[in-house]
Amino acid sequence: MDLTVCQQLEKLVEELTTSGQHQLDKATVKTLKKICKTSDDYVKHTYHLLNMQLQKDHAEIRLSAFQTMDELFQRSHAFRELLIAEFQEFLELTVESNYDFPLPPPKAAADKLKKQTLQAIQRWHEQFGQAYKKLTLGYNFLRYNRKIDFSNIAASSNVERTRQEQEAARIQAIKLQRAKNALKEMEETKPEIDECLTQAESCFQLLVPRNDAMDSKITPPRNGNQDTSNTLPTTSHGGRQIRKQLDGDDLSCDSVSCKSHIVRTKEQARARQLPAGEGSLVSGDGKKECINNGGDSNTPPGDGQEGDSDEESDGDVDEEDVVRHHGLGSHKYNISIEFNPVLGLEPAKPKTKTKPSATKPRTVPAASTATTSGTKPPTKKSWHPFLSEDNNPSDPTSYSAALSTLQPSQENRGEKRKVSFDAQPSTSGTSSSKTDLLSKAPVVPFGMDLYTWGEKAKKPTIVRDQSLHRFWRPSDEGEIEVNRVDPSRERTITFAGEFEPVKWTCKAPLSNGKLCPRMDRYKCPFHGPIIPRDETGKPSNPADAEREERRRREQQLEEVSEDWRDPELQQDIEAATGIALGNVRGRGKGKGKGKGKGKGKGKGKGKKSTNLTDLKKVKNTTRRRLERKVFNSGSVKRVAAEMNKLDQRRYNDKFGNQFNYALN
Amino acid sequence: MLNFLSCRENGTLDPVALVRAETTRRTFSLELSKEQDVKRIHASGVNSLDLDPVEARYLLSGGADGVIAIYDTHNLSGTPSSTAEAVCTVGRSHRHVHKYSVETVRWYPHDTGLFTSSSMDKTLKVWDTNVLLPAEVFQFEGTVYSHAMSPVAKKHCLIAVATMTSIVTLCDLKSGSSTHILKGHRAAVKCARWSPRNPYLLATGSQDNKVLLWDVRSAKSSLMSLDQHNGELATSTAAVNTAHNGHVNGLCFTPEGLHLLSFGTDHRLRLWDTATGRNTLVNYGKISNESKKSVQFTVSRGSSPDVVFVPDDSSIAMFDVFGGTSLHRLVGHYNYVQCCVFNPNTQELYSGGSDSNILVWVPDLGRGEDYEEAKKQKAEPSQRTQNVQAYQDTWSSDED
Repeated sequence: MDLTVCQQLEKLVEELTTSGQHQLDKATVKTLKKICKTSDDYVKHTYHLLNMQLQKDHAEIRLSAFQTMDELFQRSHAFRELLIAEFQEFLELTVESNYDFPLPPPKAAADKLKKQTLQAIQRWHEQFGQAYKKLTLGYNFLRYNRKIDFSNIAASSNVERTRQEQEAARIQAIKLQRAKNALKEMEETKPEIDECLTQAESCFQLLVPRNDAMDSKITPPRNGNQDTSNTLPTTSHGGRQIRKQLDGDDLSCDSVSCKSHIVRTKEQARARQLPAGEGSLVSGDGKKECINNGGDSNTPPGDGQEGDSDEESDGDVDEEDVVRHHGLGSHKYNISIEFNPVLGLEPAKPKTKTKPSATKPRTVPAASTATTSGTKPPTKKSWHPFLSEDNNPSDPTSYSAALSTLQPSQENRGEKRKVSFDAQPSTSGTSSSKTDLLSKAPVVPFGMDLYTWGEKAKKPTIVRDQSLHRFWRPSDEGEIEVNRVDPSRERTITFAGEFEPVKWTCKAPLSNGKLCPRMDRYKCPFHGPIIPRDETGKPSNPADAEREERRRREQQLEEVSEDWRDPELQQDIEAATGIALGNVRGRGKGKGKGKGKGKGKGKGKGKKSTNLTDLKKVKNTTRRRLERKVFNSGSVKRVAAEMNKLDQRRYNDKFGNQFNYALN
Repeated sequence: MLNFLSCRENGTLDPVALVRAETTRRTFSLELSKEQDVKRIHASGVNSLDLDPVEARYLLSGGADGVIAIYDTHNLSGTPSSTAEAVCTVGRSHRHVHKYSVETVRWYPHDTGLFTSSSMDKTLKVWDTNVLLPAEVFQFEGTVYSHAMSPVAKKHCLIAVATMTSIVTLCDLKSGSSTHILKGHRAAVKCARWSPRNPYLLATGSQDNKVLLWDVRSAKSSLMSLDQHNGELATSTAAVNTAHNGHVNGLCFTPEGLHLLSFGTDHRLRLWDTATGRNTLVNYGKISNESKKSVQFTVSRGSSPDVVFVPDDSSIAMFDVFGGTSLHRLVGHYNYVQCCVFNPNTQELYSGGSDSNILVWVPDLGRGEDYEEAKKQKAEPSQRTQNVQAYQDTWSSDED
């Protein structure tokens, strides 16, 4: 054996196995084979070299080593003998026959290695199985014990591929067919769908057409008199429904406390010329007149529908109809009262007469405080049809609420009206302040302190039983007052502060001309504490600017000072003097580290990193880096402690005043 | 060899010496047989093997799948290459098959008409070989790791059964019941062996690291407990002296019965003097032993020096019994080797492993090459080229 040839072999094997390619370089393999052909000793040497490479923890090296082995295995008997003598080990390293030693990364190369080895073993078994017993044993071991289907592996190369293609084509065809069917079905059912849509639409029109109609029709004022008529149903109280229609020229008298309800009585306007906003709706004479008019019209109230009034029994009031029927200029108004006959209530006539008194109690306190500035102060501000607990405008289902939505459209109805609206807040001052306060007041859940609210505070006592001892008596017999406030009157309110989302960014200028977009609360991990900056990223505070400038200068200085420390130069100096001058650090931190390591390992490392996949690089993913931080035991502990604290606080808030939780 | 023969012709040599020399030569040159094969019956590992003591012809095997098979190892085909066919099997479909893994199979020492098998299903079955039906079934409380029958006993017909309980049970084939129990171990008993010299001497190895020697006639207590330190350790007392620093899961007497070999999970093999119970302190080095069950190993017969074959992971290690030197390593299994048996007549070795193979190791006397040559000349041209391909280098011309 020639030493130079051996060295050449080593070089060739190294070259072949660290190429990082999935195919061997043919020229190199050829030279290798040429050398091996000359002597079995070289074959042995090559086998040992390859075996060394096969044991490396890098799938690409193993794959290349295996491929070289395969080449030699098919040629040399000596090589076969050697390989088969250590076939168990070979299987462990290539097809992970021992589950304790899985193949190294990268995965793609490992999979390929496994597949190629299995195919090769089958090939070898077919070719040399008879001659080499252990090869057969290994093959059988893989086949029976590891349950590897060799026939399938072979198929996967050619037949499998065509089969897969056929399968894909079949699936594609099925999908196309399905899409066609779906389209056809759509077309067929389209008329049906349209019909259904029309039906549904008309159905909804039948059910809910009126609100929209009313909204659109009520708005335009009919004439210069600004006259509209409004249907004003009173409360539906106990099944009774009184529907009032007050038709008037101009006047609208607002209820005092309820902005949204406008009642206009033409009669009142004519008789008293009450300025709008004077609060009272029906008073004294007006009432009388109402009644008189009612009498004039000779309307039997029970009729429900009479002459002028347009009352629709189904409850849908079409305003336009009302206007048309009544005649806008007419100084008539109608009161029609509708009774639900089922309930069998008393006839309407007495009702109309007693109406003011009957409705008197319903006025809200605010109404009674209203001031009137009319020619004749109304004696009563009694009747208002909407001011009942049922007709609270805050109740969205009530009629008043519905009317309140109409209000904006009525705002352009004249000066007086506006005045009336303006006047309202003054009349309801107290109530509004209360609501203001209420809106400000914090809402707390019901607890023991509220349960005992207002009760006289009593200090808790401890009752001790009388001691039964003959001589000895405790000093504090009987009831002892505990010198503490009763816990049932306490309430713990924790103030944890309010969460304020971070709306600001770091805005420090970056090297690429942009501003740092990080949104940290106090401190940016790259640019330090967050300070106010202008659009260009300069600190707006001069003190901050100065500090920044200083830091930058220091950094620059440091870099410059390190520049002279050329690693090679230092190495030379170190070699010459024998004194360690410390680690050479490059400009960037990461770069420096890499250099230092490379230096330690020597040139083998450098060569290796040329073609092979760098496993460390593969491992160093964002996820890994994050994981290292997030699952770091310190941070986990910190977060857990924080969470525990939060939990504790929550429990204290909820159950702190219950004795069985108090100790926790 | 020729020298020996001429000496023999001259009468200057004791015939025993020739036999011994040849036996030794054959034993030392064991190799994986290229021609002989054993049919693959077991779907999972082979736990136990036994060669019949009468003819050394029929090989009994018990597998982890509960299957028992009997092979004929004699090659009657007329050619060197042969596969030992199964004479009969107790397969999974058999009515009386063991429910779980068969741990030990043993021939009746005096006849092939009967064999015994013990299993993880807590039973010991006594089989009639000819009808292949169990003649007797013994039930135990724990799983049975091992059992043994005395090869020399004329007065009794006892089977010593080592089970998961710490008690060694003796079952009498004559009465069909367990006659008595031997109490002394503190943990599961992994293995039991009878002395080939003293019909009443029984050795048991246990999970409590002890090897106990029993005289089954005195049921009071064990004869002695083997101490690896021979009582030289300050703390060693009769109560705590141990044979190994790990579970004892293999025992084997030397053929003459004067010595006992024990194998433990402390990866050590120890040789004991059965008369005194002293550790001979032979150092065999580290022999890997991870088995949780009993391991069956064997000692060659008739060679000088004697050779012990011990399963060492997926290979079989050969050691000089009294010198402790490692002689050779038989590599061929692809998983743990569980058992091996030596054929004293042909100096062949049979081994069974977890890879469900039974391998035949034969003395490699260089005759394989001659045979190949002869076969090549006889064989058809097409077959010849294939064989030529297999054994010869096939460098293609383009490598020049």
